[in-house]
Amino acid sequence: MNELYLIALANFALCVASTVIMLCRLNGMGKDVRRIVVLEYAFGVGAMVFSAFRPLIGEWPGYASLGVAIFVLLQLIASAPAWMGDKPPAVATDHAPLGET
Amino acid sequence: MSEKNVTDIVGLFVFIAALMFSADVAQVVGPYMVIITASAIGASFSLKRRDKTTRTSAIWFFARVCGLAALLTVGISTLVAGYYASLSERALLAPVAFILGLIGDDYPALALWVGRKINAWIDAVIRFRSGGGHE
Repeated sequence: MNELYLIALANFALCVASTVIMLCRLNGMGKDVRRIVVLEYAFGVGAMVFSAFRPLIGEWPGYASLGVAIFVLLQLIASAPAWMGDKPPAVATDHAPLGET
Repeated sequence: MSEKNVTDIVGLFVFIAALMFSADVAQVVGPYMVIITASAIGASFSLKRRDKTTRTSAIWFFARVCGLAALLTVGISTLVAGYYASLSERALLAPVAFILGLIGDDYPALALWVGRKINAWIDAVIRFRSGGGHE
């Protein structure tokens, strides 16, 4: 039982960290950000919030879930240089129309 | 769990987790999971839509919108389900929470839009009554 509680708490902490990072990036997104990127981050926030609180509906996370949560957080950390200052990188934004440049 | 002596850091974490995820809490908070998740997705879209602010302000905005959705969703769903018999309150929770999250802070803009629609509708009714509906 102790192990279950510890995994749940670790999963909660990882999910909250990922959620905060994703919220900061969503905050920095402008109008030129590609829709699929916005969708990725919005559903990421939803999934992480759900995962953090899922012991409350009887779905206790295991080691595999913990691995996935670590992976998500590592991926966000790995892409941190590209998102420096919460500014979307070029790959996340659309090209500006030629007429408006 | 709470009767045990907490002597080490692991025990402390277990104690915190047991408090957070206890059956009593789960019974109250459990049904709100779908509301929080749906409103979190909606609030993410509204967070993206609004102008860039500080990180603290963004997280506060997100928490505020989700909190408002948690407060209002059940009430709105009950009202709508009472009006439309074919819709159940349970089925409405997720869409209502998502829409509340999606609106975010844009209630003045929403009120203006609704006002314009009502104006247009009243104009149409007046035109219709005063002579055929065509000008």
